[in-house]
Amino acid sequence: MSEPLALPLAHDDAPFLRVHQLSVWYGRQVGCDSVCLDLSPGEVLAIVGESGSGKSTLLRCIAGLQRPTSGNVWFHHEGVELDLHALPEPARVRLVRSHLSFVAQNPRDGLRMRISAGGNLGEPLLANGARHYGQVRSAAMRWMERVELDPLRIDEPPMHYSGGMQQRLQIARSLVNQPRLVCMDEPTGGLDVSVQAKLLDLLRRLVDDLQLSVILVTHDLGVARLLAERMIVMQQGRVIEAGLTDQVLDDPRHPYTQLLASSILS
Amino acid sequence: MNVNTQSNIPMASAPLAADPHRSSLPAIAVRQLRKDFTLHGQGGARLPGLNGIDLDVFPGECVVLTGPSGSGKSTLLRILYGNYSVGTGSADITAGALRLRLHEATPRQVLAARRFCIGYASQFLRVIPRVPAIEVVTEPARRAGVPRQQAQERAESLLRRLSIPERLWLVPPATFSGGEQQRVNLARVFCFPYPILLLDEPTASLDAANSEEVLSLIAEARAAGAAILAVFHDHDLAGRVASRFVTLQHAVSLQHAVTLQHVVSLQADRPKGPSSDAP
Repeated sequence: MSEPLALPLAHDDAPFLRVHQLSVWYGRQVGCDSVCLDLSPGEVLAIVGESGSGKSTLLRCIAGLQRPTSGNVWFHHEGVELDLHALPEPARVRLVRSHLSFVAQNPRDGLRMRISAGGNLGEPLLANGARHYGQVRSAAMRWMERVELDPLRIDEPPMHYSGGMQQRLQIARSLVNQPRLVCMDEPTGGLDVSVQAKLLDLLRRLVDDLQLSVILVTHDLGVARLLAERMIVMQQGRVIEAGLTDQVLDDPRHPYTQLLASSILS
Repeated sequence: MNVNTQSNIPMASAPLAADPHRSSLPAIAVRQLRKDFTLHGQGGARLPGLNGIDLDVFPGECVVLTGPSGSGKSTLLRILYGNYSVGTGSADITAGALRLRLHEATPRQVLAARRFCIGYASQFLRVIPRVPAIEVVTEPARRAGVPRQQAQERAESLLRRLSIPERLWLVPPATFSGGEQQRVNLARVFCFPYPILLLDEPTASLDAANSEEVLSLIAEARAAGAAILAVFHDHDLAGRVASRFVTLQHAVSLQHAVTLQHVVSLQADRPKGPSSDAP
């Protein structure tokens, strides 16, 4: 057989995010242990595992919200590789603000519940240097439409919204600065099934239309299958299986993954 | 190098007479492919799935896999789509300038091959909530870069040919009957001219007229140079599109194999195999 010819990648660009040997220890308790992963533009990666497996810890380190005990989060930025957690604080904050965003499971953690929806959407824009109030407001209204919220409710605070609407507002807030990476922690957890289906459909379309790169933490394997092309499975802080989502779920090799895959209801 | 590869073609895949595509490399080349499933939940039981398969499928061929239930026909298709990993041995995919060695491919390479080279239709549609049937059908073509309008026209003609009434096109297929879902699934895979098609029981739950239509879609794809590997429930139908039959021997006793399929399908979270195949 001749040498294999180069096959173009589904995602043309090389990885822009590399997590290298990332570990977090809470005293003697492991958060995550020597995790490596990478992500290319336009890719959606799911992190699954049971509670306490370290998936949220890992996500928070990647999103710049938490400092790892050791290891690196390399971020390819304007031609250079930056180590997110070794940057001086002002540079790190700038990078996180403009290129990363985080969607929390509970919208209350990601939104300001008492200021208006428009304020919630405008704040990240203002933090990033936008100064023209009219433009900020019209951008906010466009994003509300994009996530299927009524732009006429722009002046209402999210505490008047339903849970599903709050989550859509939080997702809009995470996207207004057009980040290169969106980190989502159980974005559909805590919502009832019909609202969840609607949100999943919305996420799927946003990911496609905007070519978003997403790291998605979930314990719902159905959500992972629907949104992510690749997945990693974590247990006790370690990555125990990684690969194509459908291969990991349909042909699982690790005992824990087999248990997980065989426990799916539906 | 080409000559060398060609001389290795086993006699089982003796060339069809006057097939213009035959001068090329096999689109699918499987050598000594084995696949076992280790079930850790069952005390580490190892269940054989495929037992040293050799197979070539050339562009313009439709190879039909036969063999008893549990002989690994669907397993082979799933391995070639990257849905199951290669156990040992090799599985090479060649389409145009692209070559993918499935046994050593990265997830991103498999995804690229799926996007541009390999179409796979299982018997069951994995429905996506809230997505209309017409978009389910056009999605793979659009992902492969076909302009929306063009994909839409092709999808409409396919849905018409497969007698999905127009009023259902904007309805999500979750509520469709089994046969309708299968036809949506087939329209989806025929919406893009994949050079390689893997079809698992494409006519299993279709009536005579729709089965006819599927046979002509297969014949058209074959004439366009696609390499097709298919599993058919109905031998007579298969005989009308097959350029050749390949029989898989079961890796283990039938009883054991059916158990294997059952266990694997439980793990795989999807129904598998027609129930009529049960012993």
